[in-house]
Amino acid sequence: MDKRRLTQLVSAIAYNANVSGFVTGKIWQGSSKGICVPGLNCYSCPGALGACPLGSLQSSLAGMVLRFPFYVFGLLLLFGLLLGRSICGWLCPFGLLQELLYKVPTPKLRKNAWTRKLTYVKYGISLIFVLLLPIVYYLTTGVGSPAFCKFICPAGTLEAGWTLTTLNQSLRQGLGALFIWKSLVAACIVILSLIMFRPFCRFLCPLGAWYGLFNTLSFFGITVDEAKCTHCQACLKVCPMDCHKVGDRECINCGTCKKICPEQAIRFKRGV
Amino acid sequence: MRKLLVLLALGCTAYGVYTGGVATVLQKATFICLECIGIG
Repeated sequence: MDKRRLTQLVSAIAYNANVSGFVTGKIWQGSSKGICVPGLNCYSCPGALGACPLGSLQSSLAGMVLRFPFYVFGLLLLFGLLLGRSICGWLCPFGLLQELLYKVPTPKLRKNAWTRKLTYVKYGISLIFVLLLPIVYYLTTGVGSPAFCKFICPAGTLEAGWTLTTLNQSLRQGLGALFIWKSLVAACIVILSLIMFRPFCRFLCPLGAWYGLFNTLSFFGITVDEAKCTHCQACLKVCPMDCHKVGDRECINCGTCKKICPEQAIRFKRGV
Repeated sequence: MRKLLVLLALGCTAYGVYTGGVATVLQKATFICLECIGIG
């Protein structure tokens, strides 16, 4: 097992170490839930010890009151500046799940011009579902609603929805059209993950969209030694994401390109 | 630029903690999120 896979597994377990929750169907209510984890991990997953940054952002922005979410924004800015999309590649349990699904031997759909265009969808999703709709809900009803969690987030459906409704009789009684919709979205992502590398991360994830903005600025990430690079493009051919160059906004710093580079011109950057 | 942004991030986080941001997150995260499940 390589270092990245090990880190992904350890972080997924660390995020979801409340093992008893998976038996009792109850979520962790300790004070660690006030701290956001860097990756996408639903805070209603029975195992979750920390809070989901996306859910926290929406509920802090427009929950019972409308205000600027300084705490969550500050953390997201800090995570982005420190790690960029290394978080997606190394510390996100939902990314790990998609990668494991992609390992199932099925015909694969490779990246192309269309998948590159689809990477812009996540910026629209972020703007509409994470920022605008919670505020619109607040202004029209007096209470905000985390629209991304409610209508799209497959991590919430898989980790919390399907798990808690299986374990908890009273929750099953409340299921309706919204649950069916969310289950369909989650099922689509699962099926797509069998034939495409990380479809949710590439096309839909608002966290990936945000962290990608910091890829060139972040303290940790991947970089190319231009003096050694011969522009053979071997790195881009092997890249499973929709990168146009190593370390751009789509790069999750998985290191696949580093292993293949014949000139050993690619390295992980660490620190200042 | 990067160091200024780190300072901004730390400042926002500290101000958010001071103004009750952690409590807001904690309040949301310690109850089952019905929207996340697909009920609410």
